[in-house]
Amino acid sequence: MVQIDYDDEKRELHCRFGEHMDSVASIDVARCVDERLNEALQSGPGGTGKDLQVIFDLGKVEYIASAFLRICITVAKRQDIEGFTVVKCNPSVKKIFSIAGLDKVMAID
Amino acid sequence: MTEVQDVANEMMVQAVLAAAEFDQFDQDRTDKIVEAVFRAGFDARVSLARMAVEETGLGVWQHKVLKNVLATQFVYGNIEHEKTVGELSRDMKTGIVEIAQPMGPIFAIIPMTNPTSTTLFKILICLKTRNPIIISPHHRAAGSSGEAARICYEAALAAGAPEHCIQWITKGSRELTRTFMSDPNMAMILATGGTGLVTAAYSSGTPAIGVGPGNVPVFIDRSADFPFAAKQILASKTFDNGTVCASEQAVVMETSVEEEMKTAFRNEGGYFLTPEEIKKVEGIAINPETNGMSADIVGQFPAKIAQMAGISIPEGTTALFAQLDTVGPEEPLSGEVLAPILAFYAKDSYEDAVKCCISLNYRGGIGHTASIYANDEERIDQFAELMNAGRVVVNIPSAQGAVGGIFNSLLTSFTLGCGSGGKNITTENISARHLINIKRVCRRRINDRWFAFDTDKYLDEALTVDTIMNDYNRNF
Repeated sequence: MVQIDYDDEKRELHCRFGEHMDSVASIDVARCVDERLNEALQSGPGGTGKDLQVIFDLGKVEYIASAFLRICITVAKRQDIEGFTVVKCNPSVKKIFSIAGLDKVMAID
Repeated sequence: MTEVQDVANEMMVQAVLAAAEFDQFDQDRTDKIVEAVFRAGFDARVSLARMAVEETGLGVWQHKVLKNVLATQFVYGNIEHEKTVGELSRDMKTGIVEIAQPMGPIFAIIPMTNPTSTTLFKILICLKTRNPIIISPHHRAAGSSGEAARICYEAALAAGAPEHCIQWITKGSRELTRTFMSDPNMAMILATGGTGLVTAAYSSGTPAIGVGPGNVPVFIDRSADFPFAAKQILASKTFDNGTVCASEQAVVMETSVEEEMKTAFRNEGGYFLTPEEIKKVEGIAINPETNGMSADIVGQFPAKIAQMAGISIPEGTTALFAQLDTVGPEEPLSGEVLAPILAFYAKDSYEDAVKCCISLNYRGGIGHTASIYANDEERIDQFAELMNAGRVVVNIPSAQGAVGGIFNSLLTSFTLGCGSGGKNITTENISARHLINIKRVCRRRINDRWFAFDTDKYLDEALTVDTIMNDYNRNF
């Protein structure tokens, strides 16, 4: 459901999600993202995430449940990371972020 | 942020996320959810009805079961096969394709008189159109409305609906209601309630579909079947103890049929109050501060009303009749009273009787419903022409008739529009079709006449409308 790669040099946590991010998939995904994010934070300078960029790659995503949107909101609200971006949305998925009003509170490409 | 704003904000965030998820559902997926909710609501029809009566202390539980049946079985019957998702129509001749779009979160205000049926109804039509709903119960019926919402929500979730597609307020307040109504993310308000609430909805800045008060006049023509009319009228007026806004408020006839109708009503358990008794009933039925009906008698049995008024009535009385002469504030019972109390008018002529109906119609019931019992098509057409009503029911119990589905082909609804007279946007029985934004994709189909016409001619002031229209419409 999610493939998470951490680039220590660039200080980027890159999360690539699967096609169908429904409520059930989102439960596991939330846990995975949280675990890897915390690991990445700890490995940063001084154990902080001040320069950590989190990128959600939705290139393969065709459907997102409200539970997945909540994961995006949770990460976007974190004060302990440098930034959060959602990338490679197809137009339908971009529309969902717009309906939810999230295009005003997070960077979405 | 205040606590009220926190509550509203949290629920609105959930509703908006649910709307985003719902937007992705196709017709099949949507319909599966609607069917599940219908089944769950229908199965709970009796327990919810009992709960509603127990909680509010008004109405008749058996009739509330029927209201729940109307709100589930009949509403579902109307919407089951309705296309509400994706492409609705495609006409390649006109080049126009119509596509359904959901509106977004909908705020549904629920009246005390129909706490479970209106909840069930609004949930079904909102889910059918992929709109998350936030239920705002009346404070006196929060338990039963909330329970109806909970039952529907569990069924919806089990069928794959988005989380928080149905939410309900458990601890309401005027401030909370106002906050929701004016939230920028609220797409629509379905305001079924009193005039004040409907006005607040329309003033909130959010689009609203509201209702108006009813003061339903029933004209009984000389051509009517009198025993039949009496039976139907009382079946309607006693339905849930008169709590349906479309129930009859006054019966009007010519004096030539007065005695026959009185006999017919008495045969159905009607009791005609004496002038002194009318005054006593006025005293408890009407709130002297507002000159409107008192909440204390809404949905009460005749025996209870008599007890409150300090009068004696025969056992088994089904409804109280107050014979009046005029319509207006000087006759308080000529206004809307949601209880088994009917004003009774006998007029010297057909014209006077119909004028009396017009007066009743315009005394607080514009745009709602009017009723006629007649077997004279000309009289039916004349009466219908003269009434300012969204529904004119003919030889039909008005309460059940206006709600629709049992005695006629009107869409079954628990939100009856009253048009501009009631300060509403429509006179229709509200249903799923009113909760869709229709997107029209228009392909190029040019207007030949426009492109063949020399439009500079419009700039020539000397050319008259006839000259231009002849030229515009010429066959060439």
